[in-house]
Amino acid sequence: MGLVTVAASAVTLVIVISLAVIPYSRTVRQNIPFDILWRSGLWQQVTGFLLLGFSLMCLALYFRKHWRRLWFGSFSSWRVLHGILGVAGLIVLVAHTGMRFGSNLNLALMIVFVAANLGGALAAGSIWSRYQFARHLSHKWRRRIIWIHVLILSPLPALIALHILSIYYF
Amino acid sequence: MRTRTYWGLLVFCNLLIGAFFIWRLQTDNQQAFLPGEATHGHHQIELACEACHIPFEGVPQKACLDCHAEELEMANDSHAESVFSDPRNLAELELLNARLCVSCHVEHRPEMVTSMGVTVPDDHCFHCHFDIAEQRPTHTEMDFNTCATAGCHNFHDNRALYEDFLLEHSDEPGVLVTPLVSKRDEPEALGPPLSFGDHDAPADREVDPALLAEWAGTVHARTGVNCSDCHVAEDPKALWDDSPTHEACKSCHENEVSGFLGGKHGMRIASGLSPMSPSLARLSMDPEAMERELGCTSCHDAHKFDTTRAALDSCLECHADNHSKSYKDSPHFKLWQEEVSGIGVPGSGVSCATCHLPRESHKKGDDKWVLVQHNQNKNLQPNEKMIRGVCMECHGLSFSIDALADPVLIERNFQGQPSRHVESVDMAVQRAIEDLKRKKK
Amino acid sequence: MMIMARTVCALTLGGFFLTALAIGCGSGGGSGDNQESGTIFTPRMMADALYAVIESDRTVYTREVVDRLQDEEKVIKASEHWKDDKALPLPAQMFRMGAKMASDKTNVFSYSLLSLWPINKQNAPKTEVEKQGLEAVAERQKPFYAKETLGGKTFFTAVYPDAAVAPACINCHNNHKDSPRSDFKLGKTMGGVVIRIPLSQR
Repeated sequence: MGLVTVAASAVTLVIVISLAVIPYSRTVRQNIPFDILWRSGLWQQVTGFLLLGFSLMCLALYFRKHWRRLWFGSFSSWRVLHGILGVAGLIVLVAHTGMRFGSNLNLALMIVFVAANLGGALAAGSIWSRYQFARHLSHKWRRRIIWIHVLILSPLPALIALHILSIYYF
Repeated sequence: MRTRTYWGLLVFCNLLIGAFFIWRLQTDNQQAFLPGEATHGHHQIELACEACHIPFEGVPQKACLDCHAEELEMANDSHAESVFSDPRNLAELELLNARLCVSCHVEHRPEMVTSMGVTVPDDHCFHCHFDIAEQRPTHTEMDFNTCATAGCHNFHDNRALYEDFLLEHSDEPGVLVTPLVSKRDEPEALGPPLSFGDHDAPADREVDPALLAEWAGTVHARTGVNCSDCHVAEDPKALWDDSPTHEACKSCHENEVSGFLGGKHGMRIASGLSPMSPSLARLSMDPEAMERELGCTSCHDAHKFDTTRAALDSCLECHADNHSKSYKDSPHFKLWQEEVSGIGVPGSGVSCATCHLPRESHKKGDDKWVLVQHNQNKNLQPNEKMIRGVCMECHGLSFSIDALADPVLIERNFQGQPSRHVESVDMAVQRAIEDLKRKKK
Repeated sequence: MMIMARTVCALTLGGFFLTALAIGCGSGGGSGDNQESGTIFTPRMMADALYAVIESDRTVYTREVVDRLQDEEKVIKASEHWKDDKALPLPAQMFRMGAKMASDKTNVFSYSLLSLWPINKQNAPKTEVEKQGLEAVAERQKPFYAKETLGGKTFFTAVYPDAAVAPACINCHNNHKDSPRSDFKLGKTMGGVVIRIPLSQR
């Protein structure tokens, strides 16, 4: 049932952060210099590689599904972990970008990343509905939604690799 | 089966994206990587990545200094790198590494920019000058975000704002007794004066007599500059060039061309991009001028080289922001009309160029000469940079500070009087009086 | 199918790590230390030698240029705004300009001119050692030596008493409106020359 919480919080989080761009501080005299996250190259690398790590860990669900014998734990607990990582990734994404989408390559990466997370939230919701309202959504539809989530993710490896490359190249 | 198709698709799609971006990296147009638009100072050259970036090394300080070092040196930079180099400043440098330009001027982060291309909060002065009120009780009530925004201090250029300068010019009237700008010097003549028949265009070329007539009436003809001096490069084997560029002008007007290349009009050429065009500008431009391109002759007119036109009409053919559009209603324009029509004395008129491409006096030993600074960026922003070199040719210091601190007045192109008063001159005078009293005791 | 999936995945991940590796190799390198044989100079000896040069040069400038041309010959003035006033730089400014220029050339040492009663408040002591040193030299007129750590780096810091060597020094400092003192006397300590030599390269 962890999924319920995860799905609900994911959807809320995405909606909230999509609406509000966190502005840079207008003073150097704030108590918590939160915008150091976006100003300092070090913090940008910390949050950036954390995001990369979370993304790779999320990938584990795929392998858990297809290499059943090699892994421990039930699939549903893996799925809950996947959801938690997804939500945590969104929080780190806010720390990394302040929800500023940027331009060009960065814009593409942000759109794909946020859309994939929304797709994930949708997928989580569809699985939740299986528990809440039995057979409300057909098995076929659930699979389709999960496929949408996976399809959106497809360009992510190249975009992330190029993003990292561009940061160090320029 | 479905999984296999998906993986095939995934690999294909990623390779495609990767290949596209890597290909772009090999070309001159690397816009695909541009993370955000550049500031007003650099947007023209934001696609000349290598003007600032070195692959895998970022933006070295040298990249900034290549273009800005001379200007900072001239400005007697109040916060030069060397001010902070002593290890005693290490603690403060941890708060803000003021040795590097990019600590305060981050590019491609439009949401971070405040003004002047600065990307740290306005009150950054607080880091080092938090106790200023103890030394200057008059500053007690002032907020740290007004240091650089109220017309009192600049971070780099305080040539017209330091205390003793304020004091020295404290009793000047709004308009000086002799409000005149210096006379411009011309390069040395290449030879004796030439007339219509002396032109040396090749016999096999058809030459428009109207162009020849224009040339014959110019300083060029008067100072022995013939067709071939511009249309044929110095190399004797070189062929006739129908459209000489700034390179041809440079042989006599090196200072002007280097100013042009350093400023907003020529910086794209200097960075190896196509010439600047009104369509690329962020300021409002005349819709009809959008496709024009900037070179020496776009303002100076090939063959005619009419400096009166270049000083005003040429500007207004493209520039259509409120400040430019208000100019013809301004007292400055009235003075310009009077000078051009012969009523006013030479140097009494104020054209666009008088302020934005000002005449600069140079001196070496007993030699003195006046040249036009073609890098309009040198005194553009912060606008207090204009006070000493331009405003004070005709106006008192306090009046100039007030006028430049009034954005509405600037937009109206100085029709009327400053609506606010910056107290810096008064404060300098007040302190001098107090000092005298203290010494008498 | 599984094998293919695994291969593709390994390739993708491998790509990431290769990129990361390539990036990681971007920085690094080092330089070897070449110890020249012969006399070994201690930081204190080095500081003393540097001080002798710095102080002598400045005294020569103060006496033979500024004092002579401004006060005796009355040919040219020395001014804080020497560029605008077409004048000679003040001796303290000449000192600072030299310190700035030296700092552009080397980080083997740095030097500055500080005081407990500075005209420009940025030249008041900032670190604890500077404060102790300036107080010590004002009192005893003898050099003060200490070690200090600034920004994670250890320094050998020497503070030497800086006395008023010419009337120009005290005239200006006693009459400047930003000077906190107006009773400086010729030959007496007005501040200190601080020389720092980094002991650790980190």
